[in-house]
Amino acid sequence: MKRKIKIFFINFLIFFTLFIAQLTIIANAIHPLNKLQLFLSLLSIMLIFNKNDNNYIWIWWIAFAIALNSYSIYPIFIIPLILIFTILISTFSFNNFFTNQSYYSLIVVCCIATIFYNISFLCLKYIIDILYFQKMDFLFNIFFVNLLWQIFFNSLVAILFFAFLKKIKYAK
Amino acid sequence: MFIKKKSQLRLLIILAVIGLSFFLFKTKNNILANSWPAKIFIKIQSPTSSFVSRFNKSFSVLFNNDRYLCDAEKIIENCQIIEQEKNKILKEENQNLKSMLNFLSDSGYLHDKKDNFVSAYIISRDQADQSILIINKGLKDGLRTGMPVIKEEGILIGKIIKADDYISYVILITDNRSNFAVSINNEEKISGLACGNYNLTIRMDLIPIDKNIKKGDIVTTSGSEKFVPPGLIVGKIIKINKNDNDIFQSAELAPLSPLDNLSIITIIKNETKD
Repeated sequence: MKRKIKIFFINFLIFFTLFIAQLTIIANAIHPLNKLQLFLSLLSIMLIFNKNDNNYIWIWWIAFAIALNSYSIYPIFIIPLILIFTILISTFSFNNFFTNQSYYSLIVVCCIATIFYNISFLCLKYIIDILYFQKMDFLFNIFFVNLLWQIFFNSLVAILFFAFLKKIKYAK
Repeated sequence: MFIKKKSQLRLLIILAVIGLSFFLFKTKNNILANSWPAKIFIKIQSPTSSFVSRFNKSFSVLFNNDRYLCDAEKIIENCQIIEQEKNKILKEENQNLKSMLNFLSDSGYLHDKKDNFVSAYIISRDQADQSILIINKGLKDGLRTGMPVIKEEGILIGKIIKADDYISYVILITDNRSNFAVSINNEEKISGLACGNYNLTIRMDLIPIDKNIKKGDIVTTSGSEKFVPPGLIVGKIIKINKNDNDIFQSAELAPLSPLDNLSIITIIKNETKD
């Protein structure tokens, strides 16, 4: 019981910090730093570190996504829905194709998660814009450049965290 | 395999989220953003985002000294333009004072009444759309959808598109979804519609083809919109698109000052027109 409470508390702390960092620090940062999606980096790291037990974290991801979506003008299901499918895609690719716990796997999984998240986000956003009869604005160049920046920063943060966690693991 | 083992539970969670989503899709009010944890969260966010904004400015100064100096010159130039435009408007108001007795009360931003203004911090940006700003004032502070948002110098930066109890969402003037009724402050007093252009510039449409406009003309709000007073600076004409076969011509405007690195903004309440 004590262990469960401890895990609950640690998870709460991680996701609360992630929420504050994403919504306050990163969102207000200068371009291109504001393109970083910290939770996608964390997602990739969690997949690789908790290879055999990913299930307990699901509810936290959904809670985090709902909280994140509550600070958006878009309907509340967008981020949770996309995040669920991003987790499914990343888990599938990690379990079937990039199975070793290496930097290479981490970068590839992080890239897949980022690309899938952004493209599905764009599609859903435009479906909603059509439903609400709003004007759509899309410039492929800007989207592509932003996506590249995001892939770069997400992978960089994931690598740094991964190296740090690996060091701690080996030190123990 | 991970997916095979836990598939039932996962499917249940996904179905629950989708079901909940469709239920919440119908609700207009944002339940989470209006709750008391949101209020506490905003208290944490305001100083943090202010700190981040200050850090960003220092960062820009450190790596962009020339640009910063240019910005300073540009601000002085902008202030002069704004001052000129304000004087122009005031002069016109004086001329039409008898016939437009209620003009000043209608364009509340010219008053010194504190009730007509609300200052707010930008606490974040929409995670789904970076051109939407989140501010720490909402319905409880008297803000309503459609109210114009200006910078310290009086330059229009956007309008409120959604107001929750404690927070509001501001759409930038350069976003495709934002529209403003505007007029060009030259001799002809041409009215038109300004809307965002791919988050980069502003496009002014519906300008009659026979009207003379030129580069450098200042465009201000016309005041024919609910909540939006006349005379707020929208931008400067940088390009004119004219085709003799068309009925209307259009112009491209550039905002007078950059819309990034914003930290404190002012909302004009101007509820007299409500």
